Amino acid sequence: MSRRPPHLRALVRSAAPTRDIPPDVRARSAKRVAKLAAAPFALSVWSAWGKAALAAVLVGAVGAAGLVALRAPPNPTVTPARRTATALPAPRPVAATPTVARAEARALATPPPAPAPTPVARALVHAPVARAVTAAPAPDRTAEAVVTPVAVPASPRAATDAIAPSTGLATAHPSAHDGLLGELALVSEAQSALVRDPEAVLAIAARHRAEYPGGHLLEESEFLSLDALHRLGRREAFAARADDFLRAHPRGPYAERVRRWIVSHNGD
Amino acid sequence: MEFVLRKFFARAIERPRSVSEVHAEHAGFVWRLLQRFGVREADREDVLQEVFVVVHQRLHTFDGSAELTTWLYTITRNVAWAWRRRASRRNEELLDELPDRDDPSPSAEATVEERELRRRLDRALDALDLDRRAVFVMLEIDGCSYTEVAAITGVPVGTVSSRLDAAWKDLDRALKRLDAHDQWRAPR
Repeated sequence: MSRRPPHLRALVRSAAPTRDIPPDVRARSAKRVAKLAAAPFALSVWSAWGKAALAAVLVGAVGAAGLVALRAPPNPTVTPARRTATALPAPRPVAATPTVARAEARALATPPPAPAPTPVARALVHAPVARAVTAAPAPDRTAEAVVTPVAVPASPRAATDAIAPSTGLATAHPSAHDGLLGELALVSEAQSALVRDPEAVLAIAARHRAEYPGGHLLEESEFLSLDALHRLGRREAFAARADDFLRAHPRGPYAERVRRWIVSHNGD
Repeated sequence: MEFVLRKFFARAIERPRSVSEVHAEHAGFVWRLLQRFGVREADREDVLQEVFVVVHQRLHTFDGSAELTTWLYTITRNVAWAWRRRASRRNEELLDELPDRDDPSPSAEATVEERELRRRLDRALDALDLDRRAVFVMLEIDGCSYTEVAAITGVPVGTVSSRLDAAWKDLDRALKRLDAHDQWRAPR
């Protein structure tokens, strides 16, 4: 730094720092961006994962329909929903997406075993399957539900009711679904509040911990709390909770992000 | 399996939901970046809008593997680069101002000499590569820390340091060129 030529230093001293965005510009820009967000732009805002999953599901559906048509004569009395249910347990010619296909098979054939080896897998896969089957034929909703679990209704009970009012599929394990969907709803609520009201995220996360001790999505909830603390600039609380978080989930998908926040705090 | 699904879930958790959300939180950040990239004040609001159009179109590609600000930095740099190219094609002078001082001496009262110094600096900064320019302004003018700049630009601190060194050299060269040019054009 001291090696810089003095005449250049003097020149740089004459410059003024950058300024914040003027409020009127911010307001005008926000209005334009809101219009942009409201414009129908379905394909561009679709997640790439959603598109891939939809493509896979469509290919799978076409393949399955073709195979069913070849192997059995069509039964005109079967409704589309029942046809889905009867066709799926048959030998599967094409797996739509591995997670969805496996979950569908599990949900439709036999109830899952009581001790679940992968709770998050169930949380993420069961609900979308239930939704896809009740809303059939709408394979894209499966993809959408997997990618954006945030579309779950606010209350656990309402979520279950909305997803499977009559099939009995989601109610086969009501407690598990209630719990997981309830957790999803809370995580979704926390995520929505993150930008506009980080304090609310902390409250929601506390509620999550209280209502679902040992829940499957507590890692997500705690991550959102850390994000909120980071945004609020509450460094001491952040540091303490970040340490605990990293001890509990040293190799989780959020660990790297939390470590980056710690480094940024230490660097300031 | 669980880890894969959790990662899958993490993408949804970490991704901002809409361009409005990104704007509410980061419009000021992008605005400052545009100044650091040297986008002229008259065009800055339009360029800001261009940035958020791109954000709207590309938001689904943000996967949380980097900070959102780093992702925004890249988009803003690309949009600023396009602006710079358009402006130079129109043969416009890219920038003739850095923002006025926020200290008690307003620009209106600045001495002619001081204004001339700032004008020279602006012209020299316009000769810099955008990444070097941004690093230079953040570190030397805005007083950001190296860690902060590294986090924004998404490069290691060592790279920030080498970009700064390169920026100083480029600046020196640009000023010498400008001086030579001015002397050549000066009436004899």
